[in-house]
Amino acid sequence: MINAGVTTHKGRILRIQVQGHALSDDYGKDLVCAEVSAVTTGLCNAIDEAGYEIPIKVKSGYVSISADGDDSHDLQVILKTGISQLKTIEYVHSDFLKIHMTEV
Amino acid sequence: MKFILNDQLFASKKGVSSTKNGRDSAGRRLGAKVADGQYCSAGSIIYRQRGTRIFPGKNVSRGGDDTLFATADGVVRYERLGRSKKQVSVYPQA
Repeated sequence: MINAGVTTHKGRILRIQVQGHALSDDYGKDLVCAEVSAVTTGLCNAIDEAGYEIPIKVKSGYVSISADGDDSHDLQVILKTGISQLKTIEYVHSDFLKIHMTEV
Repeated sequence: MKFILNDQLFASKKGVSSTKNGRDSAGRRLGAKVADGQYCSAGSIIYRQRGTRIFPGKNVSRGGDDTLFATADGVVRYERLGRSKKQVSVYPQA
């Protein structure tokens, strides 16, 4: 099961942390993992190409994006797009991906 | 491109796969049913086997499934047969 934790404050996204293993199939055939990998890696590249230098960590089974230091509206649009894509995956693969929204 | 896509980033480690094996049939309980030097009666089974690991000797016959059984009352003897074979015989007691 992959867990995606999204921390928000007054509707603004502060942090996104995606971790775990989908285990929906064998290595190399795990579609859910491939979908989540593509969305999260694409999100990181979108943030980087838009010029935002915020802390991003990517390693096996783990992606973390910390945006609490940047108030930019465009960055929020990018982050919300990523979360919307994750929700699209969760809608059909709720057995393998769970999104937890936390308001602080 | 700063972040290169690994489309198995959230997959479990390599080699974690199911096996198609894991089935086995129950043991057939083959082997000796009467030991060397033991007394047995006619018709009793002496040795269960597949093929002729042991050949029938005196007063012993082979069944359809290669089972060896006694054809007379007496004492069971496991003996050599030639250089590399074995046989089992039943010797009636005097």
